[in-house]
Order: sequence, then C-alpha cells, then structure tokens
Amino acid sequence: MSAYVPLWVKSNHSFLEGASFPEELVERANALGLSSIAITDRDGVYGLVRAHMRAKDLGIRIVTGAQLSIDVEGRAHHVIALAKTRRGYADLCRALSLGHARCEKGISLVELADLQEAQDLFFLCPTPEPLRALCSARGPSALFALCTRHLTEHERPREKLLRAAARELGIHVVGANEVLYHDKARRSLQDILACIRAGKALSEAGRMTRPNAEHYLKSFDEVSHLFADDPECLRRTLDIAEQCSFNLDDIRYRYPEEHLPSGRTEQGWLRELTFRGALERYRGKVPTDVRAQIERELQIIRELDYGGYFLTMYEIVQYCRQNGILCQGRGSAANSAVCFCLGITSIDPVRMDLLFERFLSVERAEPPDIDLDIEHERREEVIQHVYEKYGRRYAAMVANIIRYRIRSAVRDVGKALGLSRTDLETATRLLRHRDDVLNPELLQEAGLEKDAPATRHLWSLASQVLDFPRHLSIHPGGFLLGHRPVDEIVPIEPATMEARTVIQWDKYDVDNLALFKVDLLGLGALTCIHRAFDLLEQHKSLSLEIATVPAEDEATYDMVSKGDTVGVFQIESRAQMAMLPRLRPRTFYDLVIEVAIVRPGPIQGDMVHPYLRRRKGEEEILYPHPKLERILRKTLGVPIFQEQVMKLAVEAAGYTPGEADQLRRDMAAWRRSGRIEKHRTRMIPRMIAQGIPEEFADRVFSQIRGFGEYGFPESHAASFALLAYVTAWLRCHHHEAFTCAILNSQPMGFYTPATLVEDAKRHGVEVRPIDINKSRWDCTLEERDASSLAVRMGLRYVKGLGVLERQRIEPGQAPYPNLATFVRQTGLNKKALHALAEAGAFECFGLNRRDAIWQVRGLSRFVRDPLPLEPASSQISFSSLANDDQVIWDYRASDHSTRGHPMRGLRHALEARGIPNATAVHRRAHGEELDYVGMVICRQRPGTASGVTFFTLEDETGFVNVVVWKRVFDRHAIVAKTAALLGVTGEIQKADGVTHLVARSLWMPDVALAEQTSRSRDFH
Amino acid sequence: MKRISCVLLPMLPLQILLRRKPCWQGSPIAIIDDEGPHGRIIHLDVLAKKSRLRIGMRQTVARDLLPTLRTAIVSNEEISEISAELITSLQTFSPRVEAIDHPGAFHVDPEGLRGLYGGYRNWATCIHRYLRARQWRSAVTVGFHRHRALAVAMTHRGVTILESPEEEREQSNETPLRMFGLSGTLCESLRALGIETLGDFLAVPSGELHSRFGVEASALHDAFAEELQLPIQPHAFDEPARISFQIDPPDEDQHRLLFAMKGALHSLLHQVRARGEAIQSLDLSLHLERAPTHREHLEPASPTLDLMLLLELARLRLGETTLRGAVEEVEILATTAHARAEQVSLPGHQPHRDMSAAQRALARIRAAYGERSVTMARIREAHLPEASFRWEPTQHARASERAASSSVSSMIRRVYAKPKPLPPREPNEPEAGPSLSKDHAIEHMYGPYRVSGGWWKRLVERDYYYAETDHGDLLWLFYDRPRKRWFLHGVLD
Repeated sequence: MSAYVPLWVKSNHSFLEGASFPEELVERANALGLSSIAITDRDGVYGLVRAHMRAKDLGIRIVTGAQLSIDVEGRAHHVIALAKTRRGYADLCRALSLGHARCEKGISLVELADLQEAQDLFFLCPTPEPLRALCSARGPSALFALCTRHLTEHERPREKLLRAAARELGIHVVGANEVLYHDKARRSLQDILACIRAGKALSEAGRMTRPNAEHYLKSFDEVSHLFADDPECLRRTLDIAEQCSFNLDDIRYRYPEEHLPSGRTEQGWLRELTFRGALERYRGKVPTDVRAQIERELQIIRELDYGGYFLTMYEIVQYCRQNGILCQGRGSAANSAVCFCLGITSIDPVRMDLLFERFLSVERAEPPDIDLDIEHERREEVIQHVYEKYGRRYAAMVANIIRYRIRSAVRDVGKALGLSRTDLETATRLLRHRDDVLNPELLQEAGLEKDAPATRHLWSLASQVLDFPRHLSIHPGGFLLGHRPVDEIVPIEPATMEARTVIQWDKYDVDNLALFKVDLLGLGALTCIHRAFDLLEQHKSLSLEIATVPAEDEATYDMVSKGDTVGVFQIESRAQMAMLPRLRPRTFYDLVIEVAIVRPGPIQGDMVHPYLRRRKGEEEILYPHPKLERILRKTLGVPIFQEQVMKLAVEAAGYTPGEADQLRRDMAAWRRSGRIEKHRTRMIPRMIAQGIPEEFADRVFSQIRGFGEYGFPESHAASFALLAYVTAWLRCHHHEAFTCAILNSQPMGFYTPATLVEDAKRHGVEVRPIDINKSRWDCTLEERDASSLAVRMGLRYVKGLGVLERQRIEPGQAPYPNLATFVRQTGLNKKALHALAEAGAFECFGLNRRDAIWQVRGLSRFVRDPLPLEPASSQISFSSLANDDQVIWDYRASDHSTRGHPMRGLRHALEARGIPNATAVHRRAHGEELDYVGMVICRQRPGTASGVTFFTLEDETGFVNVVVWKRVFDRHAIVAKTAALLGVTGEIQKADGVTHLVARSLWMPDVALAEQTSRSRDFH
Repeated sequence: MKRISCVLLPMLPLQILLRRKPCWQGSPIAIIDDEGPHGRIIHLDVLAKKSRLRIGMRQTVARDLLPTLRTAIVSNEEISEISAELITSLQTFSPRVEAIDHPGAFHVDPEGLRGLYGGYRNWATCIHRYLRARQWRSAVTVGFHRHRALAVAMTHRGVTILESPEEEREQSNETPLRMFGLSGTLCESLRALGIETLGDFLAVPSGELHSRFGVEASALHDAFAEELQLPIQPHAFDEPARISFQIDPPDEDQHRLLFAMKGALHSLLHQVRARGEAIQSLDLSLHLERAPTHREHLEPASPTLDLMLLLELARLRLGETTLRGAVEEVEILATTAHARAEQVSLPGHQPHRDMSAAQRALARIRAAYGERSVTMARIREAHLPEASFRWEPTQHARASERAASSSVSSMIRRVYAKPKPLPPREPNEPEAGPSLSKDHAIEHMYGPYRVSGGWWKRLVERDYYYAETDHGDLLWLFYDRPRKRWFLHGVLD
C-alpha cells in the first residue's frame, strides 16, 4: 500500500506541457508501488481514457480530475479539481465545457459561477491568492491548500502565505508536486515542449521553462523526505484519493432515445420500420432467408439494447432523403439486413452472403459502427441538422488528436534547439511522412554535423516526441450523441471551424469506452451521382435511384474490362485501370474484388497474381488447409478481404474471437507501431503447427500488416463497388450527363477537369466552350440534335470568378445584346471581366479575346455610372489568336479547353520526327523501342512499388502509362519532377492487354509549347 | 544633341552574393526573401533557371527539385550600401551620377568628357574596364534619352555607343517589357494583348493605357515621351568634415598638442556649423614619428558645437594615453548629425536633477576610461542567477524609476561576478556541507533551492543555500553537482 497519491499529474495530453504518455505515468506509478495516481490534464480530460485503460490492465486506480484555470477577481489561477463521484465528474466536464466556450481554441477560463452547482468535487489550490474566494464559493470542506515543493526559491515564502491563509480559513493542507513526466530523463523534452508552446528557442526561453528537473513522478521515499516536516499533508492525499471513487467505467452511456410514435416501444418501432423497408426492398415479398436474418439481427439488437442507435441512423437517412441528399452507409453496417431494410445501406447482405457477426455480436458487445457517406457538398447540412435535433449539449464531434510525426517532430524540436531553419527544411524534405524512426544519417545528409551536440539532441528529442499529441483537431465526421448531455461524459470545446463543437477524446478513446459514434462522411461520388440523376430526369425524363440503376449490364462491364474508367468511382486510378483488363469484371462481385484487390494489403501480401492466375485457370485452386476452404472459396483460395484475414487467424492460428477482435483493432491502429508485430510470433508458429505451409503463413501475415494501413472489409468493398458500378453505368450509357455531373462536383476523384473533358470528347461527347450568353454557373446539357445532348461548360470554370461574381452574374438577363449591357447589368469588376474575356466568354459578341480584353478594361470604368455606358473611346484592333494559342489561353483561363488538345498543335512536328500518338503506342508490339511525347497528367510513386514512379501521359488520342524505375527517375530527376510536357524513350511492355512504356530515359521535348497548359495531379 | 549614358549592373543582388561567396561560382544560385520554409525565390542565376526553377517558387520546393541549389538572402541594406559605393566609384568618371529606380542602374553624364578621354567609346570603355577589374559585370550605353539608354543597356553587354536618337529608338523598342520591373499582373495583362516589347507598348496611346491599366502603365509610357526628359539629378558628394595639420618639429607634449588642436577644431566646427550640423563624434589619428598611427574615438553626450567641451574630452583621453613617439601630423575626422534645437536654446529653468550634467559626466568618464566603461544592468528572464541580468554599455544616464525608498527594509544580495570556489572537503558530497575559512563556521543552512538547465550546451545543476555563519554573516552559496564542489556566489547585507 502506498503512503501517498500524486494528485497533480499532467500527461502529454496537456498539449506541449506534459512530457510523458498517460500510460507511462500509470506504469511508473505502478512500479513505484503507488495504489492510485491522479490524472489532471490542463483544462481537460484529454489523456484520461488512455490512463484509465492502462490502469485497468495494471490494477491501479486513477483519480480523475483536471487542472482548471479559474478566474478569480479578474486573474486566472490554476486549481486542481478532482471528481469524487460520477456527479462530480459530470460537473467537472460541464465546468470545463463552459470554460472553453468562452475562450478561443485551446484555452479555458472557468468562472466561479460555473462551479456554483458543482457537487462532489475536491479543489486543490496551490497559490494563496484565490484561496479566500474559493473558500467562499465552495466552503472549506471541499477545498485544500496544495503545498508544492519543487525546490525553487520562491516556493517557501509562497507556502508560508498559503499555510497562513489556510489556517485562517480552516482549510486543510495537502502536499503534492506538479508532475509533468514519469522520469527525470524527460526533463529536456519538457523544456523543448515548453519552448515549442512559447514559440521560442531554448536560448531565449528564459523563465518559460521550469527551473529544475523536479517535476518527475517521485517515490514515496523521495516525497516523504521533501515533506518530512509535515507528513500529515501527504497522508491526506490518501484520504482524498479514497474519497474520489469515480472511475470512467462508471459512465453508463445510453444512446439517445428517438422520439417514438405513441404506444410504440423502441424495439417495436425498429421492427416495424425494418419490415416496412423490407417489403419495399423486396417488392412486397420478403424472402424467407431474409426474414430469418432480420429476425436474428433484431434479436441481437434487442439483447444489446442498441435499438436507439439504429433508429437514429434511420432518422438521419430519412432527413437526407426528405431533403434530397444522397447518402449511403458503408463499413461493416453493410453486413446488416436491418440496415439494408432501413435504407441505411444499399447492399443486400443476404444475397452477398455477408456475415452479420462482423457488424454486431453478443460476445463482443461493442457498439455498432455505421459510417454514412453523404454528398460532400451537402454534408454540413446534415451535421447542422444533428446539432439542431439533439442540441449542442447532446451532440458533439469526435476529436482528432494531431500527433507528432517525423517531419513535424524534426521541425519543431530543431526550431526549439535553435538550429538553422534552412537545415531543418532540408532535413524534413529528406524524411518521409510515414517514417516512424528518425535515421541519424538523414540528419547528416541534410548538412547537420553528425557529432555536434545540437544534432544529437535533435535526433534524441525528435525521436522521443514522436506520437506526442500536438493539438486537438476535429474528426472528419464522427459524432458522439447521448441520451444525457455529452458534456457530462467529456468536456466539449468549440472547434476552429464555425458552428462546430468537439469533444476532448478521439475515436480510439470513444471506442475504448464503448461509446456510440455516428460517422457522417462526405463523398464526392454521391454528389456526382445525384447530379447525374437530376440531369437525366431533366433532359431525358429518366428517373433513377441507386437501387434502380439496371444491374449487371453487359455494356458497362465491357467498358470497365477495357480499363476505360476515367471518372468512375474507385476504379479510375492508374493502378485500377491496369488491373481491370486483367481481372475483366463480369459481375458485381468481380467489381467488389476489383475494389478490394488494388490495395496495399493484398499487394504487399502478394495475393494479386495468384488470384489473377486462378481466375484465368492458369493455376489450380488450392487451399492450404481444408478448414480454410469455407473462408476462401469466394476468392479462389486467396485472402483478399479483411474479415477473411481475421477468420484465418481464428481457423488457422487458433485465435479466440477475443484475440481476433484484438487483431482487428491492432490492424485499425496501424500507426501505433509494434501492435501488429506482436501477432507475428503468435500467429505464424500456430499456423505451421496446423500444417499450413510456412510460405503461406508468412504471406498471410504480410497481408495483415498491409491491411494495417489500408485494407477493405468485404462489406465496405461492396458498398464502394456499388457506387463504382453506378458511376460506370452512367458513364457508359449517359456519358454527357456523367461528364456534366462530375464537372459540377469538382474537386473530386483522380483526374483534372481537363482530362475529364478530353476523355468525354474522345468518347464522342460534344463539349461546348464557355459563352456568357449560354453558360450558367454550373456546366449544363444542351440539345445537340434531336437525339443527343452536348455539355456546355459553366462559368465556374473561369479562373478568378467566385461566389461574389456568381451572385452578380446569376440574376442577369441573358442573352445580352452586347458587351456594354452585360457589364452594366452585372457590375462585375475589371478583374472578373478580364477573366471572362480571356476565357473567350465574349466571343458571342463577335469579339476576339484580345479585343474583348481591351474593351472590358475600357468599359469597367463606367460600371458605377448611373447613365448607360459610353462606347469605348477608341478601339484598337488586336490580332486574333492562332488555334494553338486559343487552346493555351483556354488552359490558362479555365484549366481546360473544349477547342482542342494542347498536343494537337504539336502533332505535325512530332509525326515528322516519327513520334507516335497514344493510340499508335498501344498498337506497338511487346519489346518494341520508341520515343513518345505526352502531357503529364499524373505522377505516382506508391509505397508498395519499391521506388518505381508511374507516369500517366496524355495526348489527343488517349493515355500512355509510363513506368520509371528509380535509377532512371533519379538520373532525370528535374525533368521528371517538373515537366508538364514529357518525352520518354523506352520499351513497350504488354501483358493481358495492358500496355506500359518502360522508360529508359526522360527528356524535355524541344517542340514549342507554352507551359501554361495543364498541371499534373501528383501523388508522391 | 546632349548625350547621356546608362551604366547597368545586371542582376545586382546576384553579383553581390557572388562577391560575398565566390566559391558558389558555377553552382545554381537563388536569392530568397526569407530563410524559413515559406521563403520564396526572388532572383535566380542562369544555371538555376536552366534547372527549371522559377522566381516566386518556395525555396523548399526549389531545393527539393535541385538539391545542389545554393540559397541566401541579400538584404536591401546591403544593396543600398553597394549602390552607394558604386556611385562613389562612378563619380571618378563624371561628377554627375544619378542612381535610378532600377536595381544596379545609374545614369552618368558624359558631357564634357569626350575630349578628356578621346571619345565617348573610350570613356565608356574605361568605366566598363574599371568595373570589370572589380569583378562587376556591367553594360555601359551612351545614348540620348535617359530611359531609352537604360532600355538598350538591358539587352546589351559591354559598351554600346548609339550614334543617333533613331538608332536608340530602334534598339530600345526591342526590349522586352518584363525587363522594366513592372508588376506581374500588368505584365501578364499586356502580354495577353500581344504587347510584349517596349515598341509594342509605346504604340498604344498613353491615355487609353491609363484608363485601362492604371498609373503604373501610363507612368512608364510617359517616361519615354521625348518632351518629358528630365535632366540628371546628380548624387551629392558626401564628404565628411575633416581637418589635418602638421606638427613641425614633431612633438609629444600633450598641452602643446591640445593647443594645436584647438585651432584646428575651431575651423572644423566652423565648417560643420556651416552645414547646419553638429559634431557627433571625433576620430583622431595621430601619425607618429617612427611608430604606428595612434587612433582615438571621442563621443560627446550629444551632438555638439561646443569647442571647449570637445577639447576637454580630448584632454581627458590624451591624459590617460602614453604615446609611443612624437606626433608629426594630426588628422581629425568628424562624424556629424543635424544640430538639435536644444543646442541653440537659451538657458532657462533647470530641473533639480540635471540630467544633461549627468550625461556630460558620463561622457567624461567614457573619455577617460574608454567607451565601455559606463554600463548599466539589464534584467533578463533566466533561471541561472548570473544569466538573469547583463551589464550593457550605455551612452545616457537615466533617472532611476524607483520613486522613493521603500519603507519595508529588505536585504541586498550582492552577487559575485564569478562564483568563488570554496575549499574542498572530504567526502565532497552536498551532505558534508561547505567549508569556509578557519575563522568562520556555518551555523545554519537554508535550502536547497535547485537550479538546473543548460543541458543543450553545458549542464548546470546547482543546489543553492543561504548560510548563516557564527559571525552573523549571511552567505549565498551553492553546491555544483556536476563539479561536486561548493561555491560562494554572494553575500547578503
């Protein structure tokens, strides 16, 4: 039994102050034989869950609290508040929420009035000044004078005053130091954090850092030596800890009850809605197996008392439907027939043979995880609806704790050490964002002297600070909703983003406490689909929904199998395009596999080629163990989906369901290094013992590691595959509507608008240029002839026009008879008029672009005049642009051209040199050497490709994929990194109908082409 | 017709940088506006341009593209300083030199010098050679119109002599507009209309340009109008006030030297007063017989025209100095400043505390004991006692900010400039306590107060104590943990 409890302990979740992880503090407390430790982070409970989880493992107790900044007579004082009971904890969270609400982000100031109704809290006050006011507000029984002994010069006189004031007020004295790190060795890191927080270098930090290293977690012997003159004040810490019986496990979380129709129970209403939806889904006849599945799911939902959660998701989906917002559930929810019938997901799990247990199980008793994808442009409406419906106290977004990664660690620590900013920038450029170890040689390469003390400190401290929290951000869409106010569970802070509030815990904390989270995520593809459906209804009277898009369409699969998928959701990337002719999807399930297979998990686990060979019948379908046939049958004996990997762990490595679940969590928390690796030693020997070949066991483990980064569960792949199919179908049968919709949904997807326009043109879609009398803000469809439509580019594509210009143009009365009328009616400024003139929008008035520029610059002077505009005083005639220049101007003014491809102007010169176009390249034989010139539309260096960079080059006839080995890239680094127009000399490589040009050298073509054509989309 | 010439040092900031770092020759170089990650490139050399770097690019991006790129900042102050030096150099070739609003460009008036040099070409070649000998790249153009001559210099190297205004017009019209330092937006807007050279630009009516492209465009247009040509605005010679005189025979007697200096200073003051200025400091150079020149710097409390004050300062300084030989020549150089109103004000009511008297006293101390002899303590935020203040030389006396002496008596801690090591004692652990001299013993110790830090340079870890001796002295001492030794750091009284 320990003889004291440290009551003032700040973890590294007291951002840029504490220098130890909560787990480290708990572990050290345990090692020192302390039975309890308080966690009192600055202005919050940020590190509490992590400490709680570790304390549960080790069997020690956490005293829950926080260091508050309290406003007493206009000055902020630090006071430690400790929660005695659940009620006390709720009051603490509430007070912190109020404190944050009145301050800017990252700061809290609690007022005494906020604590007026607070019960069951202890307050420890380390300074004499606010003692009297606190005593009046809280009474002496809840208040302690906190004596600290960090061996600083000013502490003793202050203690004297504090003790005198305590005596006078009848307050007990308690002894505890401010703990900022678990070990003395972290002092230097604490200094660095203090400097980062203050934005100063160590040499100029002055008193921003602590004067000595006495803020470590001390043993009882050390503390009792410090307080030898007053052991009673230490003993009192035990009394306090004893009375603070609150534990995070005491949080009884209840999901908000939906407003139920009178006479209905939650479960009954869910059942009714589910079967009502089932009748709709199955057109009045619910198949027996589906009915059975629904009954089974409802039974589990009832047992777990999760009905409220499903009803809430249903309500959100209903809100989206009623407001014309397209949404679709994904993730493991797609395994649920109830979700399917409620309209939350679009995948029929019974038909897809998906396992409900992946979503919910009585054994795991975890909250369900439903991610709802929403049209990205309208997600905020849904978020604000949730706030409005549940109230700001009952709904808040989950936090995303921004942690130090290798680059930010080197940059911030180096700055605090006073290193040259240029050297630091060079060093950070050499580091990869995902590196989790700082290699000292890299620092040397960056020009830092290897043995210099500063370099050694940089290496050591930047390594230590990795994964430390830096600041609180906001999760992309995670909501915490509660039956009771959320601010009684965790403090709520205002987020930087307007009208958003955020809790102090991230998704891992929320998961660990088994709290329910609703994920509302934005997805551009849904916006695109919605817009396309609207266009089809408007122009072709074709009414469609995701569920009514004709299924298993041959023509769509033909198109997809050719890799002709520019703009198609999920299967448009270079890697997907290269895979499609090999996999040749012919069914929806093939698309599900296609979506899942081009991922780092299957690629790193070397699962792709065996699958393709087996699919083509080139390799026998073998199962490493008969037990595995059931798991792997759908994917020809090759594990591709995340749940297959988990099932493998159970079946082949004898994992218990609990271990398999831990494996899933460890895969999800891939960044926390080491958590996956511990499964290697557990899993491989067990698989070998089961008679599974070592090579297969190794491969499965590699894949697990790969999944750690990015791997899809089957249900998730199926949800995405559905959107992939819908977008592919739209592109195949209504290319003009698809193009118009995707152009209006930008930014999204993989390609630039220029590439989308070129692709549409190559597929026979007429794309018409921006015209002030015909274009609307968005792109529109116009009648081309009696049976077809053309796309008219919208004014949104004119660079330099924004919301204000849109507001001026949209109410205008097009068509305008002349430029002067347009200028007068819209009152646009000179810059906007110039942009429109440059984009060729005034050609409808018979003006070439240069003349138009000259005119609008003259006319814009009279915009504010009440009288009709004067004609331009003197019209100088400028020469018209040549065709090639027109294209270049289009790109400069609107990032695309409907008039032609920039390469068309060069074709004659290129042909003269024997350089083929993309179509001709694809016709060349395997092994043939050639030169090719194209515009770079994409550079990509996947982490799985061992340094190979893939370029996608485009010309007026199509794409050429170029493979550039690392040595070739390094030899031509500048050209490779900067050229918009690239020449490649290389060899044709053909396999399974896929053509690649393997580069031997890269060069800058000496043909004239202005650089301001297209910018590539690069992913490094 | 009157001639005018333009001397242009193209890419002056880059040239300055290369003179500063000659070893960078042959490497791609960029001048940036800030050392940090957001620093942008503002000048590039040819090699860097060939590597596809562009002005405006962030230096981090550029270094990523071209790891061999050398980057540095050339400050505006540095450019101004060099420009001033260049003006002085060019004044060798013509008394009328004007720095123009284009980096590295100067107008030099060649009028009247043709005969002296044997023609304009020879004159211009002399300038070009002179600059080349000092590692400056330059273009020298002799023309007829100040702006057109500059335009020609922008596109030519070496020496260009334009024979007629027509030739000048023809050649300058070819100069690309982007070379005139116009804003990027204006350049782009004009380029969009196909206006890319000076000739294209001047073909557009000025009034139309103003209404459409603003003042910047019309100002450039107007600058080339033939009738608006301004004459050269020559840079004034900036001669410091200086006087020198011989001592014959050489003498080392300070009284006689001061007497001789009195007359010279009188003339110097006359000269300075005539400029409406006062003497801020004096540099005395005493050229000695068979010994190196002896130099002294004197600075009065404030700029002055008071002869006696200056003589007094000189007397005080020379009184403290032993000359290593007889003085054969005295040279006095005065740095001047504009005379302030106080210097001509009439004596009036003097406050009780005469700060100007204090300033004069401090000036006398400085004159007697050297420039750094008067210091004041500046408080600094630091944990280590010796780092928590710094002695800084000061020029001016300041009235104490403490209003009145506090009624509460407090002890004064007198801190030693350097802690004094106390005699070692075995075992040398802090528990053993410090040992003082034989006659003193410590009766009580209060502490410890721990100060540690400096781990990034030299680790300091001290346990401070207040110690009361049997004599009643209060000492302030510490145990230095890394050195395992006791030190006395101060006393209290």
